[in-house]
Amino acid sequence: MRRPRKWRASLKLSILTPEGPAFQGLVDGVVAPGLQGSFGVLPGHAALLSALERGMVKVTVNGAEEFYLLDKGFLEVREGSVVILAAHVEKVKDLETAKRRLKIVAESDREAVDA
Amino acid sequence: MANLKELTDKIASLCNTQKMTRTMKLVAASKMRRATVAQANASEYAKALRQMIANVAATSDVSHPLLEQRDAAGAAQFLMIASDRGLCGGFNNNLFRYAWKWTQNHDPVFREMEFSVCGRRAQLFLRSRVTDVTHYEGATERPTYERAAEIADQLMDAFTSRRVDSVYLVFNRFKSALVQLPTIERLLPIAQAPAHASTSDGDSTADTSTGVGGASLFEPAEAELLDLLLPDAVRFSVFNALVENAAGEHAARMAAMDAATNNASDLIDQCTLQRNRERQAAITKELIEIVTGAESL
Repeated sequence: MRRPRKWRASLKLSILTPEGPAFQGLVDGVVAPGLQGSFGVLPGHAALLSALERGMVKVTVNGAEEFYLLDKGFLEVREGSVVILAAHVEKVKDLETAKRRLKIVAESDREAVDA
Repeated sequence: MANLKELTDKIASLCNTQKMTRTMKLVAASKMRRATVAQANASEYAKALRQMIANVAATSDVSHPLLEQRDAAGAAQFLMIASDRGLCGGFNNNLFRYAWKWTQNHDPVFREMEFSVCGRRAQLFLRSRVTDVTHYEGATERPTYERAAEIADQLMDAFTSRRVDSVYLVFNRFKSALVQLPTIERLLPIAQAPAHASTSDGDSTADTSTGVGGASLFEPAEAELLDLLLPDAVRFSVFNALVENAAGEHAARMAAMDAATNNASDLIDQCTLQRNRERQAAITKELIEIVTGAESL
């Protein structure tokens, strides 16, 4: 009998910017703001290449959640590793701060369009 | 006696110069360390980005405005990247000489050449040779991605609006702390070759071919993704060139200042020897005078 394939328990995630890596390590899951809607990546996800829009990336590490803001980027899933590329990434301490920051940016954008 | 005083002054001034060159060397060394870290960080991003483009390009027929080949003898734009400040040996001049020769001897001859520069040294060089130079100020000292993206966007505009037919990057590639290589790289149209996995190293190509379930999912579709990825690659190339230039500049300055410090210490040794001889001669002369004076009594 063939032994069942070992379940990969965690994902290798790197969040890279041109100025240096913002995050590198093993995670349980990632939620990212795709161009066509937010999506999650868990271990065992199929190969994927997606463009990301401005928004929040949620990373789950050992049950704890971490939040990163990014301004447009790309996400690639390949063989149990996830790479996120973005021009600018910023770590925020909790969900509230993340939401607040995004709201401020969205408002200033709207003002720029109006002006 | 006047000679002795002169020598003493000269030694003092040499000591001051040496202190200065040594400090500059130390400053350059610490800046170089930071710059090489930035360069290493950038190369990691470069690898990932190249891989992504290769994955997309491998699955679809690539066609994009930024890939469009045009008349090789058409109008060319050069972005020359050099340092803001001098005192870094032949760092800038080697690049300028190499680039100038390259542009003059290029075959076929460019119908028109436009120059834009980062760094004051490049501007000073081109000022006497070319009438119109765009200078992106303050981009070289501490390269930021924002600034690089700004510059890259302007270059891409010039290319897509058909004002120029090709864009070249001219910069010093940072090989090591001792070697900086003057380089001319075509930025636009983007060379097709790196878009294929064959150019990346062996194991990463194996990764793509044995990827789980074969082809990747693309979101949005390949063409749109490419539309987003390629400009990013161009922006990054400019940033990368700026980073390499910064690392090279500090390395070159460190080497130049090290040589200057050594030269100063050689000169100090020479002058000290001469001063001591001079002093000894003066003492001997005085002694002779005293002795002859005593004898004559």
